[in-house]
Amino acid sequence: MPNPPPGLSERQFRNALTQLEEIVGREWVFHTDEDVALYRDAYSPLWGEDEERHASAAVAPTSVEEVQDIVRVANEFQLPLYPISTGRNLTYGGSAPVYSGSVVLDLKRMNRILEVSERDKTCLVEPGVSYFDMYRYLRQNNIRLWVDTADPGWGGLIGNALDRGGGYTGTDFRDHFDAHCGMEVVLPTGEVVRTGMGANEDATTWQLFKYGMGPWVDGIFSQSNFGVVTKMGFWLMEEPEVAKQVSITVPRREDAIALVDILHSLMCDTTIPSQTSVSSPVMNGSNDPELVRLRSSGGASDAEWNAYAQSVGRPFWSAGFVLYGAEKVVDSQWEHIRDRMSGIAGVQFNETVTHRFPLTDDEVEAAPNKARFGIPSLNLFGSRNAPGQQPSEGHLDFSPMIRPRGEELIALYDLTGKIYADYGLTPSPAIGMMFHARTMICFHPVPTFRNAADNQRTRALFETLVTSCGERGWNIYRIHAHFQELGMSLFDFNDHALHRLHERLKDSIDPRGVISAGRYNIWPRHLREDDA
Amino acid sequence: MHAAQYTFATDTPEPTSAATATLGVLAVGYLVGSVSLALSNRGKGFASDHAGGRPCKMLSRRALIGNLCVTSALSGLPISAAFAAPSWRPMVAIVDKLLPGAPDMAARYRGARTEVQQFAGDPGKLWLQTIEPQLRAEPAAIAGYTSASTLFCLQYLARDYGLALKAHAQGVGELDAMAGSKSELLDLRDSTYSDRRAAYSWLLAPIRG
Repeated sequence: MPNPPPGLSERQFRNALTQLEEIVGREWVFHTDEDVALYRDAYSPLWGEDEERHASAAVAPTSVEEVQDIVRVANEFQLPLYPISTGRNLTYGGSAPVYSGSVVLDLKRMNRILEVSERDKTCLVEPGVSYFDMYRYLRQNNIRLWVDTADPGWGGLIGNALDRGGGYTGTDFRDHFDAHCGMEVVLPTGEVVRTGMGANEDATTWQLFKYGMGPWVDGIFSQSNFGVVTKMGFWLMEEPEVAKQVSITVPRREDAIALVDILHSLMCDTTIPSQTSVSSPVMNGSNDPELVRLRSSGGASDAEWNAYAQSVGRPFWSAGFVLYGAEKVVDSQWEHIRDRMSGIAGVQFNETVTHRFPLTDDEVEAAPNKARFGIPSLNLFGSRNAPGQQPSEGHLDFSPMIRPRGEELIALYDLTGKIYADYGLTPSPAIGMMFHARTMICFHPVPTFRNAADNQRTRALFETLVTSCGERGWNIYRIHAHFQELGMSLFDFNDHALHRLHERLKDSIDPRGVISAGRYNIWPRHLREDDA
Repeated sequence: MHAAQYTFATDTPEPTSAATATLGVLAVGYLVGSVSLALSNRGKGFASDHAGGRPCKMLSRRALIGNLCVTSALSGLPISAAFAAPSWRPMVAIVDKLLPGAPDMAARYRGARTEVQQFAGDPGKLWLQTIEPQLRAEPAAIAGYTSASTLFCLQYLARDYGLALKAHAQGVGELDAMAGSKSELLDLRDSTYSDRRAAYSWLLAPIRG
């Protein structure tokens, strides 16, 4: 049996577990070493080290009432709980608690799709509902709506939204937290609240109008530890008549400036409705010595890079996105986009594929980039299978956010390429993803291992990336559990006034500090160093 | 305390001398036996729920934990005997046709009267349309010939239905090799699996059979 949570004696822990068993049944309380091993962070940068975060037990309720009762027990014993939905977000910490010794509150059994309204284009789900579940439900019931899916699609709608994950389809849907409308939360005291219009039991618009009346509080339940979200509504995208997947290439490194400016403009005026990615076929090529030299240099000139691009015969940048809608509208949008881009010398336009919906099963299977069409897949894993491809290792995501400006994209990868090289690692592929029209998020995989020496280097690399980019104003939008203190430390206006506000909220909403202690560096009073 | 809650397999597999048999023989071994693990789960972990107008899976996490317990119990058995356990009879064998040796492996499974489903790189559709619906109805073993990455992925998905990795080997697996395999989550970063293009034979199975 694992050690009890900090602050609890073995006897207290056993008593608490007994009460949990009375709530959910012995079947659903797990507390052997084998049990809790399932909740380890598979990609932990601390694997096997003393500091690795472990659960002490797990409990899996199936109803809101059971969640309430569990929370009440947690208050009685000051038992730290760590709620998860599907717990598969491996690159950000998976199902392992931030505060080692917490009891994982595993919500996978609460997996009911409570409502889908084709007419209103909304759904209401429980935390255990995965993108796969929702897609299958829509498909089997011939409902012509899309769920914007994370990639891979094994994650849950609620967990991904609460962590502010992103997807690929239309503007209103791919920011998964922004696409939610109304939630139900079990507060740390056990009280249930519904937000937005859900606070009015007669309202017919819980999944249609976000704000209700008075302060809108939904945001405090994301990337936080102020409650256990047990229901969330989401907006679903109407299946378009067609979807045209296209790409645009430009030949020179400095073309990134014009390319990104125009993309930004076209996204803000909604001509481009989808997530837009800008990557570099040159920088992401196979690692020949000259490419290694350029990427490690920290600032090779445009002339050097362009000469290299010419030598390998590739365009420097490639932008990819999808146009959704009626075919005539999509064709007009594409024509307008080409007009806007035509001033860039050497620009090329490519139509990858045009899908007409609904797709047959065979077309679904054959579709590349499935997530761009609302189809969850395991392709991020499966793509590693193709002979000749070199898949990545287990990794963390370092995901700085920059302004949508080509010069910042270049400067970012100059900086991070050198940092990776300084740590003896191959620089990250260069890609800027516009989940939001007004920012670029630039994912950098940072490899993790199962030996302490390599992971020590990984952690040092990650910390250097965070601080170096932070110094330039390129903060991350989301961060692995182990680095949340570091990530939050960058938000330091007025001597970390925001952090103090978070702590005041925590003390008020969760006075016993039982929910997700330490998540995003929000610690309950009894665990804060300054109050210790 | 968990052991008291479970009815582990009582039909102890007959040891055989087929320690050097190939997976084809192994697959034949799946067909031996009559008591299904799945039966022992009925009325416990799996149920139907029509909330929202659809049957809703109820995850048998308990069965999952049981998997780990019995893995230890089986570790001393000759692997050929272990594979004869009825709960290790696969409902389907999935084969990644992009991998070298895939046709041979598919033929071996078919020769053992095991349904073969092939895919190309992404097992998502197979999971969504074939494997998960069957697991929801009744947990049963899955055999496979895939990359280590796909196996890693399927391990995560299948563990919510009470399946755990029982055996694996690189290439067209020999029983001997699989006998020494680990039963926990496959560690992709283990140097053993450093060649991501390599194919692996494996079996995910419920343990309480």
